Amino acid sequence: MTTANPPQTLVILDPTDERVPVRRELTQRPESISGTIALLDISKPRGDVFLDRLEALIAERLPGVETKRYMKPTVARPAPEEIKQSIRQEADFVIEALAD
Amino acid sequence: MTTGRARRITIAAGDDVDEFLFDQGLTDGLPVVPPTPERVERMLAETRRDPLEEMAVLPPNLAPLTVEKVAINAVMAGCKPEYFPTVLAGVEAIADERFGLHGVGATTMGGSPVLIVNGPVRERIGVNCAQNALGQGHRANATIGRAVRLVVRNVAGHRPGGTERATIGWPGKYTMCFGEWEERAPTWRPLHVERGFDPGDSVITAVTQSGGPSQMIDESSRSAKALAGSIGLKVRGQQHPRKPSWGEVVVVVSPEHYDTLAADGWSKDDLRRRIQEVGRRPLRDLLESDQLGGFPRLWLDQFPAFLPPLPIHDADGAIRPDAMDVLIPKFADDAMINIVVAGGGAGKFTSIFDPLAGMGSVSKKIEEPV
Repeated sequence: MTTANPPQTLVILDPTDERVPVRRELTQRPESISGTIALLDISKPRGDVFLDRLEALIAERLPGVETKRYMKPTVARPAPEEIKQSIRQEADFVIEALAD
Repeated sequence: MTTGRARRITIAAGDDVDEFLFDQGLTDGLPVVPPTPERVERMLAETRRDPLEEMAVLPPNLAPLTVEKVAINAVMAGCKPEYFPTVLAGVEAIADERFGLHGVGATTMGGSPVLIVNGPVRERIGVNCAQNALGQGHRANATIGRAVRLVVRNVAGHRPGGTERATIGWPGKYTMCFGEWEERAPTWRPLHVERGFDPGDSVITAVTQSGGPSQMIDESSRSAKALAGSIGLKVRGQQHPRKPSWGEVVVVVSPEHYDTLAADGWSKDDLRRRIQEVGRRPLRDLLESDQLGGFPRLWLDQFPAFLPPLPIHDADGAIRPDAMDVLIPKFADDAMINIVVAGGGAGKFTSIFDPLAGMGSVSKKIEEPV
């Protein structure tokens, strides 16, 4: 063995999307609940069971607060823009039911 | 030298390159080839496409995917430059809206593309479609599938424990790519021809599956009907033997099984019909009970493709007897059954992958060589 070559730097190309995720602030939590709560069913079996129970509890404990039901057409894909817009326009809160 | 714009990362002298790549979270758990500008350049030389072309915007990161980024990940996966057009087409397939990449990654079922290559490119670049086609040992098969998965990881941003939520996962999530042995099954239409391409086109098809393959052994059937019945029983067992499938399935028929089916003049469509015939069962045999799981009672109102006639309940709330007699198919449509021939010349087996709910398969033409 003779003297090794001095170590060299290696340049590689970045395989990622190179985007630093934008940090988003959580919406300010209100002191009390009023207005309309959207209940979003993602179309998984038994999502309705969960939301039915939740709806009953809301009616019992938060009289005066309205609920409104929404449903994704399929669990396999993200919610269509129209549903997201409807919820934005028609509700003050949203509860999304995962399920199974 | 490179014509792309990817960020350059300098790895310090004395730093271990392989360990650096692991530490940055850029690999799938196996070592990768360092994507130096020279290697990426050689990859890009195999396509006429502009390195800066934005091919797609992949979820969940929703960042533009460029041809250059695909080349970088193809280098890392260990691809030879001549594989690159096939990798590009594979990435186009999974980027297609119909493929539903967001759900494929997010689901707890653990989706990943099974990539099937058809046409002259198989011979040109050495995609194995014969012995051990779905196994290890062939560079093109191993690295093309891996390159697509690395794009999903590094550019789309699917990371296990992040937005990728597979409960158990499966080895196909490293790589799963093979060719259809078209020449060994001359009486059957190859997958790409069934999908409207010319026989001389080179095509890659991506079908999302959630596990497998699981091998069916039938060494005794001598008639097409009997053998196709065996295959149908095995397919019926996928996901759950007493539930309809929510998604497409890939059925890989060995050459010897093809011979038995072809000897009776059976086509791929005949096999599809027999799979459906065997898989079909009256609702009463499938409905969940306290003894066996199965067709969920809740589905009676939720999955129109499989529903008995409505209303299904009589005045007492019981399920009507005629609804109980309705035959429920395993697949809502025969076209959900993708059949290909692959494997070695000896052995009477058929291998079947596990479907995934709600996703569509996509085929894309592979660019001719530069």
